[in-house]
Amino acid sequence: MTLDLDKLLNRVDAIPHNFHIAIKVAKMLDDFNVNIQELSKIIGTDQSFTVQLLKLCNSAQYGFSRKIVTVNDAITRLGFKTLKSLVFVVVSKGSFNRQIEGYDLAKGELWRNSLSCAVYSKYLAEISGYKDPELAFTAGLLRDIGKLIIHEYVKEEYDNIVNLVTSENIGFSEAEEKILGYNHSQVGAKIAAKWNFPKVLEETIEFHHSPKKAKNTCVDKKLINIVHVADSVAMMLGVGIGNDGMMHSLNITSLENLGIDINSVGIETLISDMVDLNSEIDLLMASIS
Amino acid sequence: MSNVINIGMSQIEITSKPGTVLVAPSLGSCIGLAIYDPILKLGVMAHIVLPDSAKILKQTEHCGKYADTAVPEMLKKLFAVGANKNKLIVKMAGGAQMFNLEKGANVLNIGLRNTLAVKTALSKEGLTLVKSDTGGNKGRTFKLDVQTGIFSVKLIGQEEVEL
Repeated sequence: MTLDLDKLLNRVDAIPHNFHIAIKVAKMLDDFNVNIQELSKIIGTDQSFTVQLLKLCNSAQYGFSRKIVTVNDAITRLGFKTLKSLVFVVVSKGSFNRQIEGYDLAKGELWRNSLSCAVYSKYLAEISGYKDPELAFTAGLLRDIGKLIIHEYVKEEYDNIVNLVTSENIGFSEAEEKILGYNHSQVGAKIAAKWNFPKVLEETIEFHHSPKKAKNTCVDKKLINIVHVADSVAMMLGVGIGNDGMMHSLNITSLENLGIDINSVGIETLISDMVDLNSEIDLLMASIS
Repeated sequence: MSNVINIGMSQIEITSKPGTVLVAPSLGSCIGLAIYDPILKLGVMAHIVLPDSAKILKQTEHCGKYADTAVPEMLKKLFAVGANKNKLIVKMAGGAQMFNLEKGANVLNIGLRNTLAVKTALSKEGLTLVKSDTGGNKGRTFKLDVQTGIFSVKLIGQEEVEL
């Protein structure tokens, strides 16, 4: 079965209202001359969105003794970059926190997996001296958006995909592409383009399983490496692991690019530190439940 | 209805409460290790993440995180409530690995190192592993029903089977 990508994308709803807000807000926050009043107004147009955003801003991990009560307040106290990533957390929940049958993921599993990848990406960004850890958080959060769309076709062709993984010794994504014509990363990138995501997010989505294929013309290859490693660690730790299991490979060059020692001590220390972030992920999950 | 205790990464749980099922969910390269005393109907389970605490410079309060510290801690908990070492049944599941395509990628195979480290830690304590389901590249869930003493494993996408 080969997917007709145009037909598939036509089935994808026009941009969900919340994502529309997120992208608009993200673009405004990128502008150093942003008008905070105008920004508050845009966020405030959706009441339930505002309530969830403020709840998240007030969660324990930010540790404010005085409660944040307005969007204005949130911008001032959290800063533009953190606020931007939290906006994406709030809007993503509606799309990611559902059952993804084709990958055998119960409700909540892809959501936990996505939040974990976000937190792990931010951590890797920090330890590797990447310029914008909050952007890494958002890129990690959104990298599996293609699974939301392609999963029903994966379900139909699952046996054929796994047989190809075994017979041709290729990763799950490559087998997906051979059987369906596209893999979840490529479909995700197309959705990101359709929804007018920034180019840098479109590219991390497209290459998060295949950083080697990212061309030098890509906006930010280091970010692709960060999300690739974070995604792989989440997989190794079994966080929201689906029926594609660990049938993906981890690119050693991506680890080297982040300055991680390629020996058992280096890798195990990294994983040991990343596991300690799980309490932060639990807090995030609880803050927006 | 059974009472489920989910054991998160690095945790160890012990129980003899009838009707309780110990569960190590979503095991990737991690290991679910369970030790059972059939006389006391007492079970302990750990969700082990890494092989060797000595390699990690930072101290951790979670003994269950590493194979070498989890096994003695599990025995300590069992003996504290009167378990008999000669009767213990030991089984484990997990230790899957990433699909490695590259040369030199063996260093990433935490699953295999975890499996070997658990076996070493068990033999150091004079315990015999009765059965295990490890390796491959699929996720697993491992369970122990402390009332019946039945161990079971479920590979994602497949039916649950007794181990």
